[in-house]
Amino acid sequence: MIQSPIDANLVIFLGSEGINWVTEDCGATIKALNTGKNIKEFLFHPYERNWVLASAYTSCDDFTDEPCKIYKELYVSQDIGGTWGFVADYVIQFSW
Amino acid sequence: MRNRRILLLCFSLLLLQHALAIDEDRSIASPSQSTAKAAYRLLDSEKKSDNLPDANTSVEFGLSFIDSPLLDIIWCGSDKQTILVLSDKGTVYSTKDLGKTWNKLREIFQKTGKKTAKDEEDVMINLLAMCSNKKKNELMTGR
Repeated sequence: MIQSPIDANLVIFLGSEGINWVTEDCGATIKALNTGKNIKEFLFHPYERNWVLASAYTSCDDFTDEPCKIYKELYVSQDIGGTWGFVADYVIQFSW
Repeated sequence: MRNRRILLLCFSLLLLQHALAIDEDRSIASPSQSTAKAAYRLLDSEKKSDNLPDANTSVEFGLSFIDSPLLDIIWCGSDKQTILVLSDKGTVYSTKDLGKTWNKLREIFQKTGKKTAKDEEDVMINLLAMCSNKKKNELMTGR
C-alpha cells in the first residue's frame, strides 16, 4: 500500500499479474486497475494529486521475435493509474 | 553603666539590621520561588494535556488476529482514524475505530481484481508502503 503525500485518503495497492487497486476513501470503495505490467516501484507526485510514476521490469513474454531482455521501464500516469504513458527504458532510478 | 547602655544599643541596632536584611532577602527570594512553583504547575498542566497515564491509570486494550504475519500498516484519512493493515498472505484489513473492529477486504480485492484481469486469473496484493505519520497513534505489532 502506498499513501499519497498530499491526500491522506488516497492509497494505491500494488498487486500481481498487472492488477493494482486504488482507493480514494481509505478502503470504503476500491477500484481495480489493469496496467498490464507488474509494477515494482510506485511514486506519487509531491504536489499533483493524480500524477504517479511507476517502474516495471520487462518479461520474456514482451519479446516474441527477438532475444529476451530484462530491464526496468518507467511509466507515467496523470489519472492515478487509469492510463499510462511510456517514459523510458533501461531505467535505474527515478524521481519527480 | 553608660558604656553598657551604649553597647546594648549597638547590639540592638545590629540585631535590627540583621533582621531587616533577612526580610530583604525574603522579599527577593519570594518571587523567584513562586516563579519556580508556577513553572512546576505549568509542567504538570502540560503533562495533563498530553494525556500521559498516571501509574495508577489502567490502559484499555484488545486483541485482534490476522491470517498471517503483519507486513504493513497505513494510518489513513486526515484524522488518521482509519487503519489499513496488510498481512503476509496479501489480505487487507481495515478498521475505522482504531482497531476495535476489523473488516477483511480480501474478497473485495479478489472480486474486483478478477473482473479487471483479462483472463480472470487469481491476483493478490504484493506490496505495502509505510505510512509516514505515526506521531498521533502508536500500535504495537508482533508475531
